[in-house]
Amino acid sequence: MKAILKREFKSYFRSPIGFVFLAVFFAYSSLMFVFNNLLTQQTLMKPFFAEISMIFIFVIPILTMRSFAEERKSKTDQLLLTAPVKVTDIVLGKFLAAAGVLLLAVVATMFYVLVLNSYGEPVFSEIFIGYLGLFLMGAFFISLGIFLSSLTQSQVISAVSTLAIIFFLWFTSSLSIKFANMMDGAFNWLGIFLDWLIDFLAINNRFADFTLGVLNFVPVFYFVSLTALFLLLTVRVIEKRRWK
Amino acid sequence: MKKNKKAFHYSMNSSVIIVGAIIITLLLNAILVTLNDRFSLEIDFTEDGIYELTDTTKELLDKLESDVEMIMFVKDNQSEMVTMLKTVLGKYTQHSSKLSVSEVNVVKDPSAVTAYDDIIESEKFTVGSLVLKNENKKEFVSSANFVTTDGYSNIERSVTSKLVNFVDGMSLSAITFTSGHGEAKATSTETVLETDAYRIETLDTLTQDFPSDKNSLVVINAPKNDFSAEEIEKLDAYLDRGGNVMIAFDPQIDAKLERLESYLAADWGIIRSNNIVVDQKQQITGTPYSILQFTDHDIVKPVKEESRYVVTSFSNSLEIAPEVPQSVTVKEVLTTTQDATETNIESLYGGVAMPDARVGKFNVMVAASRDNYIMEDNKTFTGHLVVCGSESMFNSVILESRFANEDVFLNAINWMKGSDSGISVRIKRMPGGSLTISQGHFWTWFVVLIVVVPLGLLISGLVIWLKRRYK
Repeated sequence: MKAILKREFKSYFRSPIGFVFLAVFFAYSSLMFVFNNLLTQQTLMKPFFAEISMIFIFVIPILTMRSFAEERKSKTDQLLLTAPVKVTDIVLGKFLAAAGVLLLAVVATMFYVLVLNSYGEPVFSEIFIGYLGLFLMGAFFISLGIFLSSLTQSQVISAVSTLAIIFFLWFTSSLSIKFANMMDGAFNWLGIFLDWLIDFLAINNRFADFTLGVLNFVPVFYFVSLTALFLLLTVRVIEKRRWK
Repeated sequence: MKKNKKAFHYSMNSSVIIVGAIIITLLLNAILVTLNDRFSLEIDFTEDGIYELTDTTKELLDKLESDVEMIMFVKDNQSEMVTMLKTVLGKYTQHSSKLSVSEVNVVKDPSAVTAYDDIIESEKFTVGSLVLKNENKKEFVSSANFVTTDGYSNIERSVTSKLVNFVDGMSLSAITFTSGHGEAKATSTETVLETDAYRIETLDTLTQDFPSDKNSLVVINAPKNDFSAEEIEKLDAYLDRGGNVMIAFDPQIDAKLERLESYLAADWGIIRSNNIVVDQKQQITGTPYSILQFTDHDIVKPVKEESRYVVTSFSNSLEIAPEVPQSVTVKEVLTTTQDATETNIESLYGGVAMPDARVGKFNVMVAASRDNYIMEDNKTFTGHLVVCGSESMFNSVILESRFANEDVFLNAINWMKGSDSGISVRIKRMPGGSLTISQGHFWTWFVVLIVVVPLGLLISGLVIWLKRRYK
């Protein structure tokens, strides 16, 4: 797994992808930091976290679109699948490499905390929890992107489908429909289930807990379990291809 | 054939694993969400533990015997304050199974709001307000003071103080404001007291008797007209039986209070000067307030230790008579600095210089106690009196959390009553603070962070890509 992780991580910086990702992420996050903190002269980073997480919709697909789709298109996946490595190691290696690039980007934005510290008194623990949430949510999106990349050989389809699903998850929290009120009688249970499902998928609401400066184990488990689920699904997809 | 069978088995296994994993993930998440409704699965990392309940609240919740429903009035687009309120109320329901929370959407279901018209104070009703109710009682909690303008949260304090009414055997301690002498309305002070679980009462000293409970407290706030001899007698008798009185004067009105002042001077050794003291060097820029100096009195000790400020605008000075009655102990609580100057209304508004105006340290708040042995009860009672030279210390400034005026006021009450008589849930600092950044620095960071660094990253990527391409 280490070899795959190393190879994948380096590959991000052998092509412009890694740099474009870091540049776009940093430019957008800096813009949010300058407008939400420096311009309004406040140390509170909640608005910053709320807005910066939106960039994931656009940058995560850049990071994950090529992970399996490119290998499949250039037929290098045959080499990987026949190599004496476990599929789990291949998937984990690719995931950790992408997560490593994300971590690099997130850590780079911690420079803002030092800027805040020069002009005010930020509360580090509160901010750290926000960063943890940001990384966990990004890691979940990466696992989703890698899964979608494993389903196709087109990088464009992989990127667009990742973007669409993240976009959907992102805006689910804005839905104010209550199916339980609309479905009376025998189908009321379905309405309740749909409401629960929408609430479950409303990723923004889960992330909001972190921005409050509260470490809640429910959203932590939510992100970790969904990340693990999509990695498992990716493993099953690749296993199936290998087995075939 | 064998291969097909193997393929079928593999597909089956794979499908079972996938479906199983999805179900387990959903189930575990659902279980955790349910558990989180009853048990706290979180750690609060905010500076003041804004989402944690204080021990005072927890102790109170443990005493709840009947079910209490907390009805929250919300609308679709919830504000940050409502998000915070929901999180805090979640802590209440986690701690006590006697509590439950429900929501009423004021936009979608306005008729549900009218059902509580009997309890809702319409002028204080805003989104986020609550009605607490059980079978016998209803209490309204306005959200107007949940968050102060200077960034403090009053949520727990407001909710807990109303929950006191639902605990059997607990009754609110009363604070009585006198009337009939043109007393100033102490709206801000009353808000503070109500938030701290005190019951506000009014006393017409001409027609009514002073409270008989020695644990009561009477406030005389900026009277314009003097007390009659009979009222002074009642006041003295009340203090003789261990009563507690707080008097605040308004230095900016020319009140004739000879009887009251004579009583204070003769019986308590406290002399109110007919002056206005101004401590210009201590004035906070852009405000009418000057910072006061602490003594070692118990009332101000906690605030002094926290290095916080107590402020006032104009004040009468209060002198301690060279000779005070033997049973009386009187001490300074708050003073000006040595640089304060004396003036008067004529000088302040008429431009006529005050003759023999003094410069020096003046007392702004003094506290006294008096022991009195009552033979028929075979008991010594201790009456307490706190006198303030300025009612402005406890007007709207009391609500400004950056100053410690509220703390001093509540400490004075506790000192007189001899205990923490209210529900002392202190306000909590909300996350975040202010930055002081010059325009030059702002633009430097703007260019470095938004232009220079991202451009540098893009150029690095381009160089590496070109190098590899033309290698």
